[in-house]
Amino acid sequence: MDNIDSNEKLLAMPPLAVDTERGLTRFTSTLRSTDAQAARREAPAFLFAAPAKWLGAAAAIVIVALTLTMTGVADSILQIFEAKQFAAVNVTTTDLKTLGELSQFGKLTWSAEPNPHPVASLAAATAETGLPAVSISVPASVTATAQYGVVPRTTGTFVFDATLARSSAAAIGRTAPPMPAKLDGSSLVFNGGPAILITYGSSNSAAGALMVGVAKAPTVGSDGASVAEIQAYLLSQPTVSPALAAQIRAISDPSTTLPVPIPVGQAAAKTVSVHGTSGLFVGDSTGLGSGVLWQQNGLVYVVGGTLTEAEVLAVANSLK
Amino acid sequence: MEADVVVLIERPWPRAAAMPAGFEQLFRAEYARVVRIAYRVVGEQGEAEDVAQDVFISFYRSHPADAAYAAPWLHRASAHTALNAVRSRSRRVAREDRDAQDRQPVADPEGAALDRERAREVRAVLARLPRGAAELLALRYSGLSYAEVAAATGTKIDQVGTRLRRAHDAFRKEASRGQHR
Repeated sequence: MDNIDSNEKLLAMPPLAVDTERGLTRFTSTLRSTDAQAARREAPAFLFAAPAKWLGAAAAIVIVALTLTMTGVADSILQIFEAKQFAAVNVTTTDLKTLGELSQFGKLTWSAEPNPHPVASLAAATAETGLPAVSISVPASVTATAQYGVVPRTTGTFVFDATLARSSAAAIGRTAPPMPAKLDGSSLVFNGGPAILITYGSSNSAAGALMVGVAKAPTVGSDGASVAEIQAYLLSQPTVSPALAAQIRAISDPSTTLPVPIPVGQAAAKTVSVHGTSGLFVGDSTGLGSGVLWQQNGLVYVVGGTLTEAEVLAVANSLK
Repeated sequence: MEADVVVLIERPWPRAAAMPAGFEQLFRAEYARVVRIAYRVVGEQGEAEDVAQDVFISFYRSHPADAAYAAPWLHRASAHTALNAVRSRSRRVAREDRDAQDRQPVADPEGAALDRERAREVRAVLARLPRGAAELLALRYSGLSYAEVAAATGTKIDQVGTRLRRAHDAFRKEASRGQHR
C-alpha cells in the first residue's frame, strides 16, 4: 500500500488546461497540407495535375506495387522486374494510404532526388534523355502550345528494416508479422527514367489539356532476399487488404506486369489495343478525363488529358 | 461551360475538402484525454500536444471515425506513442531547450522547478519500465476509469486492479533504483 501512496504522489497529474479548439485547428491544417499531396497521388485526374509532382509521389507506390508482384520470379542479384505491360488493380482509399506508407517497412533513399525540370524544346529533351523524338497529332479541342519537361534517370534503394517495421506497427497499436531475418537489411533497387513529358495546357487552363509521356521502362533489382519471402511478408501485413492481395496474386506474369492502382469509384480501367499492342485505358468516373498506358520496344508511353476515350486513343495511335 | 469542366477536374479528393463530421466529434470528445495521457508520460504540454496530433492523424488515416474501438485505440496509441517519444532522447532534448527559451516567468519558480524535476523523474522511470506497465500507469494516472483502462489495454476489468498493483511495484523498484544510481 505504501508503494501505491508514494507512487500516487509522484504520478498524480498536475492540472492541465487543454485547448481543444486550438488542437482541432492545427489538426485540420495538417490534414489540408498532407491530404492535398495525397489527393494528387490518389485522384484519377493525376495525369492532368502537375505531372512533375505526381511522379515523385508515385514512385513510392510503384515500388511497393512492384515488390508486391514478384511472385514466382527466380531469386537474382540482378534485374527481377521490367515493366512490359500493365494491369489495373482496384484499390480503395485505405489501400492507397497504407501502400503509400513505405517507410513503415524500411528506408528509401534516392541516388538523386527525382528532379523533373522544364526544357526549351523537344530537341533539348531528346538530347538530354537519349530518348527518341515523338510527333503527336493534337486534337482540335487542345489549343495550348506544347511545353516540354525531362525527368532524369533516377535510382532509389529501399532497404528493409525489421526494427522500423516493428516500431511503426507498435506506434499505431498493432503487432506486425515478424520480418524474416533474410529480408531484414536486404535491398531493392528501383530504376526509373529517363522520361520526356510533353504537356499542352494544364488543369488550370480553360481549354483542353493533354499530356504525353515517354519513359524508359522502370526496372527493379534485388540484392538477394528471396522474392517469395518479400511477397509473403508484404502480403501478410495487416495493412494489405485481402482483396488487394488476391488481385496481385492473380497477375499471371508478375515479373513484367506493372500494377496500376485504380481508385475504386473514382476511375475504371480496361485493356485496349494501341499500336497493335495491349495497353491499359483508365477513365475518370466523371467521364471528363482519361489516359492510356502502353509499352513498346522498352519504352513506356502515357497519353492522358481532358479528352474522351476516342480522342485519347486517337492521340495515342498518332504517336510516331 | 468549359470553366465548369476544369473545376470538376480540379475537384480535390473528397477527404481534402472537409473533415467528416463524425471525426470532428470524435476529436472534440477525445483530444483533451489523449493529450493528458501523453502528458502523464512526457511531462510537457507542448510535446504531449505533438503526440496527440500524431495519434489523431494515424487514426484518421486508417480507421473510420465511428469505429466502436475509436476511444480505446486513441488512448492506447497515445500512451504508446508518448513512451516512444521519451525513449527518443534527441527529440526530447530539443524540445526542452525550446521550451526553456519560450517559458514565461512564473510566480513560483521553486515550485515550477520542483514540478519539472518530478516530471523528469516520472518520465525516466516510465521509460525504463516494461511497456505494458508504463502504459497502464499512464492511462490510469491521466484520469481514465478502470473500465476505460481495461478497454484500452484489452484487459478484463477485474484484472485491472491486479495489473495496476504490479505496475506500481515495478515503478517503485525502478524509481528507487534510479535514486541509487
